[in-house]
Amino acid sequence: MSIEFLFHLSISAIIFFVICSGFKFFLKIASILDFSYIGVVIFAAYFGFYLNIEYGFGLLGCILLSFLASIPILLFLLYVSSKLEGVYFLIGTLAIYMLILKMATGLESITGGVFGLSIASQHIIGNLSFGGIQSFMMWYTLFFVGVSVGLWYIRHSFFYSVLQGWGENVSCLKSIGYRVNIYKLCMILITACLASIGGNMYGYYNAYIDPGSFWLVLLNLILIISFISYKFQSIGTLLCAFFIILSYEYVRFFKFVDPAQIGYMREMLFGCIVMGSAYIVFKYTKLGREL
Amino acid sequence: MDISYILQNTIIYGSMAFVLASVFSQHKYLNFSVGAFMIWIAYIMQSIFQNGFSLFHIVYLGCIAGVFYFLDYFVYKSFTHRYTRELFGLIFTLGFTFFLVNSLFFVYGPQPISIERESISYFGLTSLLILIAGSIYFIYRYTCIGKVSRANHENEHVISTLSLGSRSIHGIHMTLSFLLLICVAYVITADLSLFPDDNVFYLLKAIGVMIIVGVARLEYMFIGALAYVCIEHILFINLSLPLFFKEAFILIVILAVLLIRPEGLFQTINRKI
Repeated sequence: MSIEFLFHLSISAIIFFVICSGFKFFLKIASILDFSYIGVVIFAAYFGFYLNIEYGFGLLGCILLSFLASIPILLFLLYVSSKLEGVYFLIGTLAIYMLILKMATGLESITGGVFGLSIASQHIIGNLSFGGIQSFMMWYTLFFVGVSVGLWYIRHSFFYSVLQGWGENVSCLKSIGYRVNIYKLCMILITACLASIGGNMYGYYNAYIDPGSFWLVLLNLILIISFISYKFQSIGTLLCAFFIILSYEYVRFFKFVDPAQIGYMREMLFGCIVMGSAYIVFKYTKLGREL
Repeated sequence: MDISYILQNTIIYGSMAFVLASVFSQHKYLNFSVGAFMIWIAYIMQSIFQNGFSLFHIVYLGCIAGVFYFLDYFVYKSFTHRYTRELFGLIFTLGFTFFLVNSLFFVYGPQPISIERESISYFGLTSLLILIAGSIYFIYRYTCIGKVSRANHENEHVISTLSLGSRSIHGIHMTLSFLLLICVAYVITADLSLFPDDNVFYLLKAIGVMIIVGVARLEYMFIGALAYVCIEHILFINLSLPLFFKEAFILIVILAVLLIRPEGLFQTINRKI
């Protein structure tokens, strides 16, 4: 295993750590799966690419602006969450995610359609550019540290305690006098921030995005990493992401299957892992109950 | 108006919406793998038309039915708490869809497959639609099975306490659902090509029809499907709107109906969802 491959795995692990941290946020607090979060990741990636290609923005500028641009989606999600519960909320968020994916496929003049977009220049801000994989490793490690510290601070704050109370019993919280919608909005903003960071990191590192890369493969990996790392915090999630991506890449080299079919076999295997990990998490952990 | 397009798609979307709603109303979770099962059966149907019907096909269909039943049974029995089952059922069947779709790609390859056989005539499509929709309407409106089934959707614990045969009801639902998937596969193989990734396309339409009609109103699924297909025909064939909006349209309809009238347009009881 070469050092570049190790860096590649680590960078991919950091990207998925950021994305899965946001996905797990709702899951851990109120055992809600929010598929629209992945839609925001896609939106952020495409918006970031658009800003980079048209206006030459760097990674930091793209993260900030795509977060601000995703606010209308967040407000809509807040409205949806106030109207729907349970499986209807799941269907609603799944519809939002797939709608964003269909828009990415259909609006060819902006998103490149099924052919996707390639980045114009990989730079962080101003003239500071990503030199090579070592530079990506360094900067993305800084992102990891920043996101981990931020999440640690949030988890140890009174705000998080209120969110846990919201997940436990909304009526009780309202009776005490808390303005639940404000806290819910703040939570959605935090997850959108993580989605913007994760989506832009993903796009910048790969230098290319297309709708196909955001459909089954990404969804598969996000679900597996989120479920397997459910009980873990930052380092645990990063290590889970690292080993899952290592397995995902390693399966590529299986010799007993025709190379043209390796991809399908890999997805079959990871489909089974989704089923198994979901069963274990739902059966043997107190899903969504951190109190 | 292309009548065969309308009839064909009404049968496909209405049947799949029935299967989805049937599982949801009885076991309270969204079975994401319905589309994948339908495509799997369609591949068997394609083999039947190419090579002739044989004992192997009967056994194979039996195995698929067994997997269909077992998947549902496993999700139902794993969790008694409704909310956990809703969440787990969706994720588990999503994982199964990944597995099944990629196994179909693994076996049949990445190219779409179509078989040369005669299209189903207008008379055939109309008869099939009337037979399926009429039978389901009769069963769910005028028979004891339908009434118990609707009551089971309201509260399964009361029905099992009253010993009204909720297991038999469930068995009937699963059998009807599997037969409908075979009908859909038969219709699809007539004029359309088979491609494993199409399962999501059909599933989305089925979810849309199910949401539009309302989960508990199984007898009206085909009416809802007919209305949706007619609107789709007017928008995308008569008015020539861009085709990529076809899938986006159903997603917008799903969101709109969920936010405006989440119990469905045919539902009589207002419920907080």
